[in-house]
Formats: sequence, C-alpha cells, structure tokens
Amino acid sequence: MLFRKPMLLVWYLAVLVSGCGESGPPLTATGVVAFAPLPGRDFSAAYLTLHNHSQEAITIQHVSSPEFAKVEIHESMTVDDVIRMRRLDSLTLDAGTSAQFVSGGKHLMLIEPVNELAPGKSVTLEFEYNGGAILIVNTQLKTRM
Amino acid sequence: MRATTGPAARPEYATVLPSPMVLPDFTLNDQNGSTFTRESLKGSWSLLFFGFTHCPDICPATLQSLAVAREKLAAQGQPAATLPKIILISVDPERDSTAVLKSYVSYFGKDIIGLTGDLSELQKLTKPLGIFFAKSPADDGGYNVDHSAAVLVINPSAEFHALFSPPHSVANLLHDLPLILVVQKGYIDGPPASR
Repeated sequence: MLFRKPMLLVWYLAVLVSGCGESGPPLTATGVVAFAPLPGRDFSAAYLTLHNHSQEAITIQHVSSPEFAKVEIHESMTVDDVIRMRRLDSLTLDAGTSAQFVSGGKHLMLIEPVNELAPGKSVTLEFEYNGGAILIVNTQLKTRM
Repeated sequence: MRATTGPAARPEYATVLPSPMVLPDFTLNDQNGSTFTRESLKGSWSLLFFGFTHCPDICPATLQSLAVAREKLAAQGQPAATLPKIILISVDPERDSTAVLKSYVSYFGKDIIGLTGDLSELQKLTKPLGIFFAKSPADDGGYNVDHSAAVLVINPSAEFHALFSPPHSVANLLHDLPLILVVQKGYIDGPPASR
C-alpha cells in the first residue's frame, strides 16, 4: 500500500517515456530508503532495489534529483575486511534481473542538497536508462537515528 | 543422576582473541578537544570503529548499528558498568577536525566519542592493530579513504579483546556483546581473583 501512489506514477511515466505500451514498466523500484544528510555533511545515501521486468538488458546511464546537485552510483566493496568505495559510470541489469542497493554494496550518493533538507522532506530520484527512458521515484528523507 | 546442561553460549560473529593484546600508547583528541590516550580507555568496555565523516555509506551505517545495539543492550538489562563506549577514530584527520567530529558524532548519541589527531599518532594505534587506511583519489579531484571496517572490542584494561568483521548488524552485535562483556566482567572491578 505504501508504494501504490509512487509506483503508479513511476509506471505511468515509464510507459510514457519508453513507449512500452500495455506490457507494464520495464524498470521499477522498491524498498526506497533515502537518508537526510548528517549534521555538517552535504551528502547522504539512498538504497533501493531496481527490477528489470523486460526481456532486454537495461543500462542506467544517469541518476539525478531536483533536490541535489549531483547523484552518483557508488559501490562499496569489502575485501579482507577493508572497505573501498568507487563511483560507477553506469549500471546494467540483465533481462529479468534486479539490482539491490544496500549498505556495504551499491548505493546512491546524494551530493550537495540544493536547499536544506531535513528528515521528512520529499525528494525525487530520476533514473535515466537505455538512451532516454526515465524512471521517477519519490520518497521521503529518513533519519538514521 | 547428574543434571546435564547444554553447551555454554559463545560468540558467533565476533572473534575473541585467545590472549588480549595490550594497546600501544597513543595521543589523540576527542571531539571536545580533550586529550585522549590509552589510559582513557581504562575502566570501561569500548567499541572502536575506524572511519571518517565524508564516508556516506558504511561509516554512518556502522555507527547507527553500534548506537542502536548499545541502546538495546541497556534496555534488555545489560549492567550499566559493562555498557561499552562507542568510539569513532577518524582515518581522515586532514578533514576531520574536532569541530567536524563533534557535530557528526553527537548525531548518533551523546555518549559517542570521536577521535582525531596527528597522522603519526593515529598510526601508532592503527599499525600494531593491523588497521589499514589509505587515501584513494576520487573523480572530482577529492579523495575517499579506503579503510578497515572491523569493530574492535577493547576491554576495561585497555586491551584489544575481540573483533567484529562486517557486516555489523544490530542482531549480530546483540547476540555476541552480552557474552563477551559477561565473560570479562571481572575487569570492571579489577582483575579476576586467581584460583
């Protein structure tokens, strides 16, 4: 129930942009959690799961948000108990697969809020994929504590 | 007929050192600018995490887990004397001043301690403990810091006692910490009596 409205919006926009007709949106998002920046910090992180429902690979080429100057896909990797974080230029989901964005793995880095952002504030994430289709996800910023 | 008991519960996620390791001497500053040394760790349990405030993912998530676990331990009756301090030691002293640390750690609770200081002093602590950290250039001209993600359990004698490897879930911490703290409870009131 919680995602009914955002998901309907996402589906509608995805259909409009990708022109996939009545087959449903090729790309959807679930479990979206975005945190408000911590005190003194001008960045934060967001987590979600992306689902590719189509029969073709989907490549996320760009992520943006009207509320942040930049959004980047990052990946934390733990090797021998050492954490390394790197930016990903793009992310490809094979046909019928999902990609989880979780703490300690892939995540969205929300950089430089345009305005002050407190927990509860609504933010929009826009995922551009396959040369122009857009998945729009709305969520509210949460606090970690 | 003898009563039988099951095997004693043991930590499942933490590695407890067979012999605790005495921490090296070091001098850092806490978020209030006060000197913090090995002596400062004596008298209570501590959970050390090495991270930095420009870290968007693992560091806040780990501090969140540690703070929530500590809160739950208190709520489920863990004796106050064995509740651990939570300490973030910055591996990015260049950007993490005491003022930066102060606003950052206070977000996670009033009892959280943030430490920073000279790189050489930091290395006095990290090298013997096998804690790794190194700058990694970022695309925007800035940098990230690759770093060890372990949480170190320090006993009230200021000894490296146990280690949690990531991921640091609240459930894992809540399972193991009471077992570790109980085993070494004698340290709180002094060394256990010899048998």
